[in-house]
Amino acid sequence: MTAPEEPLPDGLSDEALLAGMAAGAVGAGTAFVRRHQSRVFGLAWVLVGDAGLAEDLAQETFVRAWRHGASFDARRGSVRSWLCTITRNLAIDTLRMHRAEPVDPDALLAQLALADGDPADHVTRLENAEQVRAAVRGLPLPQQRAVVLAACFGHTAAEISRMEQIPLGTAKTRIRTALLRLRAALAEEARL
Amino acid sequence: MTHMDCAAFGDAATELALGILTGADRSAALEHIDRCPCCQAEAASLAGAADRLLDLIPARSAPAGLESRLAEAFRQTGPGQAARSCRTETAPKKLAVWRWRAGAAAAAVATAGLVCIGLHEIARPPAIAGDRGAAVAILRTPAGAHAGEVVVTWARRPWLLVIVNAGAPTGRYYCYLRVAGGRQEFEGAYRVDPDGSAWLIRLPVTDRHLIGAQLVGPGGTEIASATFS
Repeated sequence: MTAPEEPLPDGLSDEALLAGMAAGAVGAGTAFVRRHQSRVFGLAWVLVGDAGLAEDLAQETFVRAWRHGASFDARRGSVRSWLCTITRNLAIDTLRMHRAEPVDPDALLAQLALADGDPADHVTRLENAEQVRAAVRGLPLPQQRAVVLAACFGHTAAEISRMEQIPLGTAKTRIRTALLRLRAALAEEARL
Repeated sequence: MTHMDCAAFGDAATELALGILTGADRSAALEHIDRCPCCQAEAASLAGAADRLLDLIPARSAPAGLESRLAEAFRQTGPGQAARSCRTETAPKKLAVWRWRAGAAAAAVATAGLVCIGLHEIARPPAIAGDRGAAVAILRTPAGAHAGEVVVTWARRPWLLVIVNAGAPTGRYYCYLRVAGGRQEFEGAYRVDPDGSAWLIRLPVTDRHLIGAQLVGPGGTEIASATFS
């Protein structure tokens, strides 16, 4: 049984679109793809550094979201981070097949353009990104690196510990302190 | 599984929110938030901050045709297909039925000014043993204004549809379920835009008595609540 492909009203939450996908509504699926494809493709490109592979990764990410939308649990994170986790896991598998060497964390961080926005970005997204960049810049550099490697590239505390050549406890502390400070900074920004 | 207390969860919460907690620690943390509303709310709050960090990922225009190729793939591949292959033959059919009932309930309450989830019943599903139909309750602000509706459909497992009208305060809402015995359970966090929002929740427990729902803002202030009569 397939759902009718009627146009969807604007402003549906990610969760609502995902529920629609779980029920087989292709319209919900395409709206979901339209909303997230540039972010997913952007992350895939950053992770694998190849447009063709990134396209394959983005496509597979959305197919998996379509198949497994019903298993999404909002209590365990946002739809966007769930989607990015799928992309990261697929990228890890892809990189295992295509090359063995680990990605240099500095190369990863450089691609996030902590200093500059992407001119192709939507205005609202740019504003959001600028707020986050400003909050991240307010952290000590080691905390910036730790939280960004974790949030954007999915590196665990143990991996960050190895990459940064610091004790595991230090990596955990940097991640924890950074996220708590970012939360406070972003909440303060929202209040202004 | 090792049980995690609130203090231990506090140490693991940021890694859980960032999606980098793995193995037994992740299982223990998830098990903990399933039974601790305070830590669940903290996890949701941290996940919101972690989610904002994803704005740092540079967006790139996706290749032309990606969207249409995916639409075609969606038409050819049913949702949950990969998972279904591991299950019995009958389970997926029943699953589809109660999904469609949730969609039908959504369509039934979609009126002017409301946001509809966009699912429609296209064929009447067969009766399910234990099905108790659907119930609707009005979401009202503390001042009594109409803020939206909540709809519960009782199939083999209940679904709850929450609809917030356009014009409601925007931002992140925390949704709590009020259940028999006076308990209140954190369900999840959702973003409400100026056009309103709607979300569908697969209730985690099959046979509990749901009394109502409450929407709370980031500061803990009640935005609206609904009670089933």
